[in-house]
Amino acid sequence: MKATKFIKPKAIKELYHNYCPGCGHGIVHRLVAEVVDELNIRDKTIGIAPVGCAVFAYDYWNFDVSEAPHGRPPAVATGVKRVLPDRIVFTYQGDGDLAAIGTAEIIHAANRSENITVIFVNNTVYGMTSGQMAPTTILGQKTLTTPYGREIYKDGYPLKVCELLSVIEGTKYLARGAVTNPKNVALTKSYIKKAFVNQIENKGFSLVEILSMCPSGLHKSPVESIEWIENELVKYFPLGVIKDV
Amino acid sequence: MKKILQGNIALCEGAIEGGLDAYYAYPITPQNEISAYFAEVLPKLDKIFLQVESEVAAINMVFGSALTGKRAMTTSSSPGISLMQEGISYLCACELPCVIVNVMRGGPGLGNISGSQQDYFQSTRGGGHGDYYTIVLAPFSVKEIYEFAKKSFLLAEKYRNPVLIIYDGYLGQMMEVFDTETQEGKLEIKLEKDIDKSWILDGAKNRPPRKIRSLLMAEGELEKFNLKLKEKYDIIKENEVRVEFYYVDDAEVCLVGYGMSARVCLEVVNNLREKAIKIGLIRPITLFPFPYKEIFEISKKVKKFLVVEMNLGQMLEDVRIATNGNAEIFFYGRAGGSLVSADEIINKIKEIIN
Amino acid sequence: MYEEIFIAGSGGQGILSLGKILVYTSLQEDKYATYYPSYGAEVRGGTASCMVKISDRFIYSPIVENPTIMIIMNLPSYLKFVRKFLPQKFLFLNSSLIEEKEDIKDLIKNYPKNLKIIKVSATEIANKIGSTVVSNIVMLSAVLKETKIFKIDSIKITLEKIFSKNKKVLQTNLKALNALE
Repeated sequence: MKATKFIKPKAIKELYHNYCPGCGHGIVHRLVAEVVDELNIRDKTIGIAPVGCAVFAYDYWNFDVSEAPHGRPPAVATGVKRVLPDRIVFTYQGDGDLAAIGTAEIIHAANRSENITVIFVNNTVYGMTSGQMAPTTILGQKTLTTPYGREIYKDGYPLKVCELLSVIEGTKYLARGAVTNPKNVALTKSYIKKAFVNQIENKGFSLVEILSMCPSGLHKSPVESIEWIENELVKYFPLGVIKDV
Repeated sequence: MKKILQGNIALCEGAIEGGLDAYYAYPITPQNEISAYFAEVLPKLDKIFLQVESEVAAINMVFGSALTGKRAMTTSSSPGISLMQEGISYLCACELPCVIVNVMRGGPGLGNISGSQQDYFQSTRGGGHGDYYTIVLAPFSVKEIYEFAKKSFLLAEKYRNPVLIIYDGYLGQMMEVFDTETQEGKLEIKLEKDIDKSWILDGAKNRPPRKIRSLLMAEGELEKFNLKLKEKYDIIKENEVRVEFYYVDDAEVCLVGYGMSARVCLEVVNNLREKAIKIGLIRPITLFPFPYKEIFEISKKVKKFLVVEMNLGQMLEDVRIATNGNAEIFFYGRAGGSLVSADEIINKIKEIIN
Repeated sequence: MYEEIFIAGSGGQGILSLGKILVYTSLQEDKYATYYPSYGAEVRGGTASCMVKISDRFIYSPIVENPTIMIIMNLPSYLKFVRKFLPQKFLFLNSSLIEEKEDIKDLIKNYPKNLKIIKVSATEIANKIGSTVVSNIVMLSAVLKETKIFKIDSIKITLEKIFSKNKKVLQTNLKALNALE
């Protein structure tokens, strides 16, 4: 058997990242970087980083990246893409950023069918602020602010972002992947690639939701986090392509 | 060339002349003429016009376009500008040049849709969180609105800082004849060097990647940046103060007013000078930087100041700081969207003199 | 020359248009002018008013505090604004829509002695010309005749510019402008 050499994509810098052991962000960063390399768009890509654990994404990627206020990456990306329509613009957002504080921005960017790519990392918990409930925290899930588990009558239901966006005519591609095992990682990469290719082909708004591990926030070991996503989370957030038009 | 324009339309024409690339906004009275005008004109010029979901989105789209070095603008009125404060703080922190226009209405809360100057504090003290300032221009005529809009992008780019143009709903709604050829009302921006665009994000082609961010977590890093910003604001204070004086030298009472209230003050000054009553006027044109030094100099000679505003005393505090105890400071203001009248100011002056 | 003009009527009577015509005309005659509309939350049917100042020099405040000329086109505006302002020189009333009632007589006692009150049945005359909407121009022709603030030819140039794309409307307006000749 021939050994495959592990090479870093050009679109990622030679740095150690600050993520916790077992965190999924590093994998997702890498997948985005691999896709950027494969599509040969590193010199025209502009990324918009969120507020949350991935706020430092601008330190890891090897292309132009800006921060944005919490929840506003879709608006910032709109501002970039409208004046530079031939550049590739994507946002990288967590569940708090995209599905709580930034719901207006994501829905309207989708509705205008902004020709951008959205990478939405859903780990069901607020990692950076020490593990509070996220809009995607599932029922019964314990977090710092749902110590007795998420309850419908107090906290409402977990928000299904892809399903919510799927009824908006402006969304052209919606898929949900996970980064829990090699097969899922490979599938997720294919979703991300499709979401970027869509932009290159001027098809309009594309979003990939990625179920990802947050061992620190979930108070689980890295392995337990993976098992929990594969056994529990996917029941509520089914994987696959949700919309492709 | 003589023109006749409404204040809000003059803003549009000035901004287009000044090289506007993209405009994002959410409707709010009394500045809806601006969006209507841009909606019609900008697409024909191949520029971006977007009516967006909120003022929050608008200011962040301005942030996005400003990242690329393009000339972006948003306009709103008081409640909408409140919503933008988060974005303005980020724009200042990321040192992104752009232009924000506040056609002020009465407040607090929903207030009313009449003109006011009740956002002086918000405009001149940064407005959002953190230690920062925006450059604040306060035009007092339709011509100045036109001229300031034209040059505001250059001013913003010179310092990599947002410029805020504020005027009240009265000025926005009024029409006025003006001459584009005459020198008055023009905003001259001196450039010692070319505008630096080495920071913009437009894709890392043939250059190392760039990042724009305001999160500075390493020990001492943020303070260092705060000091760098302060240095910039100090240079702005040194270079960009603009103020006009009318009959100040021999004045017994010096009025201080900006924007629409300065117009009413000027009516009063001319009226009383005809009757040989020695009244002068100081009109700050930039509210940040504020003409502290200039007013301090005058306070060595003039011992009575009457600050006139369409609020209950905001610039008043800056005049107190400027005069530093040298003079007696009086105030006349109307709030809630009411306009100060010449007769009211004259009555107040009579009170002060006697 | 320095005139402060206050114009009021109901929405749809061309109140704001009349104000704008005056301001545009000031360009023809090389005068300074300002125009300020009053605007409310309602769009149609309410009271509309505007303030115009015309002068040989730069005008400081656009707000009319002491009108020299007042033009009132309907009864509600009359009742509202004669309580607010006392015009110094001329008061033009659209007699088609303003009838003098008892309570107005008290107000009239306060009018300046040399104030000239000019009553014009502007709406009726406009109807005879064939269009109610030009009652504002009929009134304007009376204003020009009495006050001489602008030459009638200058107004004609303004109207020609405004209605350059609609010859029929222009003709009706020009007819209204000459209604009192």
